[in-house]
Amino acid sequence: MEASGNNTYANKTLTLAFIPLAVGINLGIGSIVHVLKLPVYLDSIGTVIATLMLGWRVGAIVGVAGCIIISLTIIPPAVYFSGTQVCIALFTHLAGRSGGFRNVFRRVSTGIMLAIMATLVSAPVTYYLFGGITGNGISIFTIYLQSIGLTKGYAVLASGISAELIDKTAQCLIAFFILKSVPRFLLAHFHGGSLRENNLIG
Amino acid sequence: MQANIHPYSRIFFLITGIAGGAFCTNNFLLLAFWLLVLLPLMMITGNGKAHFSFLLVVVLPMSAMLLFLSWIVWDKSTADFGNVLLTILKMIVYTTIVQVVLIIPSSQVYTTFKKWGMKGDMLVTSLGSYIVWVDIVNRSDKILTARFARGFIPARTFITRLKQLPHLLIPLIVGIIRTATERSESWQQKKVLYRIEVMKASEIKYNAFINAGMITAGAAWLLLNICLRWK
Repeated sequence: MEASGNNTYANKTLTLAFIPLAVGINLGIGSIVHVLKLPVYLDSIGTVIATLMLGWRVGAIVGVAGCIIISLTIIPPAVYFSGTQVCIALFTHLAGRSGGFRNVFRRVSTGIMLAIMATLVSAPVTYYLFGGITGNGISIFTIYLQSIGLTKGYAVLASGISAELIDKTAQCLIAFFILKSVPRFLLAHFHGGSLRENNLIG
Repeated sequence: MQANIHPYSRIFFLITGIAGGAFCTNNFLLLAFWLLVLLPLMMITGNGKAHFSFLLVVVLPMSAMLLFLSWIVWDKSTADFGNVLLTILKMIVYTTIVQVVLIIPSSQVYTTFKKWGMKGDMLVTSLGSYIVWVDIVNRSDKILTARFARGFIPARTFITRLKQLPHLLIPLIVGIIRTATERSESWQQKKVLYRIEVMKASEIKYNAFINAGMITAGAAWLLLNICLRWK
């Protein structure tokens, strides 16, 4: 009984120590990509890693906290896309639990499905709140699609999905590659995620 | 000079400021609120320099891009620049409000979060997230310095630093995971979670004039915009 209590306390302290650091991963990569105006986001790698390591609740906290802090420093509209981060965490957890990161084919498939889901969640925010343009690299593609005759709604959706497909697939691959580089004895401390299902720990 | 803002004034100003901004559709009012209320507040709280660098580095390029993109999309004669300007001004006002409220001197962070009702896990997570940026920058700098010392980076320019991103990512994240496990063990041994919970908030002298001004300005801003909206 006491051992189980100690384990719960250990898990709790580990989660609390890890959350701020995972927020830092989102902040660091997201801000570099934004400053360079690249047509991708790469701002959810920390969310995906945290979800795979500690479950969707922790992933969602990391994603939302990252959005709030990044909107204070580099990307003002980021906070409005907090809902997308929660959905990313939820989807990653479900995919991870069913072994969605086990091999390259599965990782790419997970990335594609994640991209579709993220576009469906974030496109209404981009369309209704920002009129289709948020000032990042993807806005240029939205403008181009509008200039060749697509309506604003379709342009936002099409540019969103095309960017998200590359972005989310890359994020799933990068997140897995990073976790694969972490020594297994370190990963073994983390519970509640889907590391075992994806052969990241024995 | 750095004026101390009471946590309740901060939260009140955040709510009234953002709600007022949401109701506002007048570019002149938004500009006036930023110039007459937000900018002086940023200066008084000692964050003027940070605010101006944020405007210069983030808001200015973003606004220029928004204007340029809108100019391309719409027919030049019918381009709705007023609406684009409204988006830009709202972005500036919202961001400055959040900056006024959330840029908290390190000596007051704990007291402010406690007064906002945060406790337990939420308090620890918030305190940790608040200082994480400095931690990440320090770590990245150490990795880059190490690579520089070993001769992997010919010069410390922006481009060469960027090329180091893939080499930076893995040691950074492995380091983060290692730190999390070490920090967690240290927290368990020192009973940090319990200590944070029972730690006494420090006594801070708040500036009555600034706090009263913030509350009045926030309330007036909200009421004015509600009245104008339903006039």
